[in-house]
Amino acid sequence: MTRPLQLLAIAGVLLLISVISACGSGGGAESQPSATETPSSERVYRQASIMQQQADRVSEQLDAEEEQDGSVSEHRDAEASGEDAEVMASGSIDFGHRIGLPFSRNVVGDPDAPVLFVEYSDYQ
Amino acid sequence: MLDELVRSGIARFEYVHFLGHGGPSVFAAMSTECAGDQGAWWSFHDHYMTTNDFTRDSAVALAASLELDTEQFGQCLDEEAHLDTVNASHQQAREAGVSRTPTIHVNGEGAATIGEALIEQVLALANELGEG
Repeated sequence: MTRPLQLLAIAGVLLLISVISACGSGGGAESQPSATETPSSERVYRQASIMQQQADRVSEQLDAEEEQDGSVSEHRDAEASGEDAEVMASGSIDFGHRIGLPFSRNVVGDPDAPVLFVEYSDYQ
Repeated sequence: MLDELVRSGIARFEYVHFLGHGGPSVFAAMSTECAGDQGAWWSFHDHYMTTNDFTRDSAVALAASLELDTEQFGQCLDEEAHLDTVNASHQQAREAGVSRTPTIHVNGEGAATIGEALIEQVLALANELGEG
């Protein structure tokens, strides 16, 4: 995305240079003497140089923004990993006689169910 | 019976560890919690309800058969990552007045051991809800 912008800026600068040059050299009787053409060209090149620098700054800024977006995306990915861990501890049982029932770790069934059975037991 | 009530949306079911037999009880409870980190809490729960093999090897083998991350699972066991969790469960049971297992509470009241008394209690509750 930044490269096309940069190329567009450069193309714009080159177009500007060619237009100004054309005006300066094709002026006929109204054109300035050749002695004054050199300073005019220098101004054009300085202007072109300034525009190029501005284009470079814009490009660098866009690159920096893209980099920042990338770090934000990674951060979101990290958050998503945390969410995944939570999701792993809950969901829907996919085996046995409780298949299809929602669960959250050691609780199974509809969280809004009006009756709560709590079994206190020991595997041993 | 309980499963039917859970499946119908009338009830939900919670299991709380009661550590009545020391080391094996603690290990089985911690294994279940470590499996729970990977979404397999109920798989381990059901397994431990039907076995007396509470060794690390068998727990890791079960984790492998369930395609869990055995390295993560083993680390969880070795670090006793859920020791506080299972101790807190046991404390919850003690505070609920549990002294023998299994014990089931219905909406926090009317302690009953598994058996006919419980079924009668559940049916009474279901009827109350149905009439309500």
